[in-house]
Amino acid sequence: MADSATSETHAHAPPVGTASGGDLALRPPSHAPDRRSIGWWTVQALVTVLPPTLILVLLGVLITPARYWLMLAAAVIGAPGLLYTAVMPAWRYRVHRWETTEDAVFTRAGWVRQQWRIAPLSRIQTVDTVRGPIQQMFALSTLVVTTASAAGAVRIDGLAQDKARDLAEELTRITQATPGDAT
Amino acid sequence: MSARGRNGTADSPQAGAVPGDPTNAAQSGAGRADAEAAWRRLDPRIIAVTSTGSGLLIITAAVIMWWRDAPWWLHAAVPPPLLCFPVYEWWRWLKTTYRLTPERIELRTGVLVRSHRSIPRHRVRSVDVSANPLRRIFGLSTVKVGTGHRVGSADNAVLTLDALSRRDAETLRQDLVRRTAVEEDQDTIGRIDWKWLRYAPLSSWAVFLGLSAVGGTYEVLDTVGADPDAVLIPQLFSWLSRADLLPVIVLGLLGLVVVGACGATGLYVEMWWDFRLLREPNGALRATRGLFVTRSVTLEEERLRGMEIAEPLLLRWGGGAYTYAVASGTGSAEEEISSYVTSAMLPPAPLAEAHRVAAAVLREEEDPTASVRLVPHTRHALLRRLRWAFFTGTGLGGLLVLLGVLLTDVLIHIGWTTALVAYAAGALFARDAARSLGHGVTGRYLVTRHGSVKRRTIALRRDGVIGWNVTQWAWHRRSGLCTLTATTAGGRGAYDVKDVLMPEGLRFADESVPILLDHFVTRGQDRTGTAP
Repeated sequence: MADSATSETHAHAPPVGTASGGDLALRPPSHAPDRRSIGWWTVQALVTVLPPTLILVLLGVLITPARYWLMLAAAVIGAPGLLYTAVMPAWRYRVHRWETTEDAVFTRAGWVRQQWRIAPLSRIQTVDTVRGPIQQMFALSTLVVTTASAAGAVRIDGLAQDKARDLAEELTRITQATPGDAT
Repeated sequence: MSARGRNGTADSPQAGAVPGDPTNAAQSGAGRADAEAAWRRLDPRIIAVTSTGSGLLIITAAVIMWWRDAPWWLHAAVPPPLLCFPVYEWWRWLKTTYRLTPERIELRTGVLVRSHRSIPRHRVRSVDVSANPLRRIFGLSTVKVGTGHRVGSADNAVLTLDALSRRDAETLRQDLVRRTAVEEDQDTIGRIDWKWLRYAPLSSWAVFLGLSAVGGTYEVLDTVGADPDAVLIPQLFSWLSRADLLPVIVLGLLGLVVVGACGATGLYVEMWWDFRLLREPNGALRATRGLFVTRSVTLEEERLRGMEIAEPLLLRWGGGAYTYAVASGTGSAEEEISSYVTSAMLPPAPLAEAHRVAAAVLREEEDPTASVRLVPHTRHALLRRLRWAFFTGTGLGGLLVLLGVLLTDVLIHIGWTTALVAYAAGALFARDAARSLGHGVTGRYLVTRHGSVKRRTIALRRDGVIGWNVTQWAWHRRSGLCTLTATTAGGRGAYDVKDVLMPEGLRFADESVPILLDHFVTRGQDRTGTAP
């Protein structure tokens, strides 16, 4: 069988890549998210950080005997929370990038933990747009591209709503024209 | 349209491949294509199964309540809700019909919420026939038809017929799976060898079972009213305080291990009884097994994406391994991720046997996980693991020492010994885990290996890769350390090449799946050229 023949050669050949010219590196995808994303991420961070802190502060004001400990807890939660709110959105904005080509979707996302994702269009199952309540405030959308893998969904955060809609339509059109059963 | 289930086509299926004789001549043969228009009922004996189950529960409850001198109203309160189950079951049976047409399998069901589901036959990727002891007594089997697609919820991925007569279930299974009617002998790829029973106590279940046996005994004593809290445990403690502590601890641990090993062996026997892996004439793989709960899983060949050899630490020391198929449609998404029940291609067995079966399943001359030449990972991976071992030991020890300073001196000593032990154990695990790491390409497969407590070696079809993820922590950007993930439709959906340097990882990805990466990579000279 031809397969076993290839298997033989590969098994005993030294691991030579196609890039003998130099080391490979991922380039950043070409498009940045909408500028309003910074505002969206900031509000999102505040919504997670503020309520527990404020409740602790309120309790601290009301319950005099336990004031020291409640305020301490509020500081322990609040200080890193505020730092997170100050740092994360701008950092995220620098990292988040996206790009679609004729045959693949390519994204970079995250802030401390950064992730590049590449999904070929021939493997795409569904293209959806999602808008949370806070995203609505900023007129933003997230484009979600799912593949047959449980771990393969590619998200493009912080697109202007009409742009997300156009992109979703375009991707749906291309995927329908691309042969393959997506597995 | 109703009640025609019992007098569908009575002709026996033309297949000589129906193994065994029909246990139940009263039930007519089912679901040949020529019965296409007939809507059929499930087997009515399922109502008897539920009634028996409820009856057993009522009797058990009555005995326990009588034993515990429960008041009369408690006795009276138990049966009515339990009696609702058979009534509901009867209602469900009345409302449930299914049919098999040349194009599709359809199911109408639902007491309150009606549903009509229809799966095209060419979408059917797995048929799982199982029977728990109660259903087996009544000669029934549950059939689960999987499509291998996981769009939407898990419910949509599987169509369940609970239950059919054993013969109907077998006929349905063959009908759904077979498309070419070639009559050939089934080819046995693997079967259980009881010499492998020696691997049973090495399973991670052993320790857990030992502990749960103690817990179970306690629960039983409590239920029958022996009141272990007030009587047994104080007695045990007073006896312990008089006894010599060292032999008690040693004997106690030994007891746990023995009980656990016995339990694990029993479990092994129950799970893997009469295990056989067959290749059917159309190429589909079929695994059957089970002593009390029988299972039969069919896996279509085109859904196979690769194989996984898993070696948990104890089993690895004993020279054994698990063998799993990486395939889509072996169950719902949750099942595939949380358990390996449906994708096991062999019981825990010697490594050589695992490789042999993996090769046979993939129709390769040699198992790719054995033939591949793995590229080891750099010292960055080892250093990262050592750092984690150091942090864990320091964290644990530091916490204990802190408590010791605040409370009592004993904790300080426990603290620093804990830290030292954690350092030593952590360093050993770190070294083993770093040595496990490796990746390579061989023939049609890419292979990745990682893990220490459970070492996995995965061979994944290169054409089964449906995307790449590259994950990197911000502080690893300079070293270039990252984790490369191949996503696929099968198995857990994502397979990692852990802690590889970015240029080498990308080279590997590019070699495994050519062209895909071309637009997105730059070919520079420096190793650290990943900064945007």
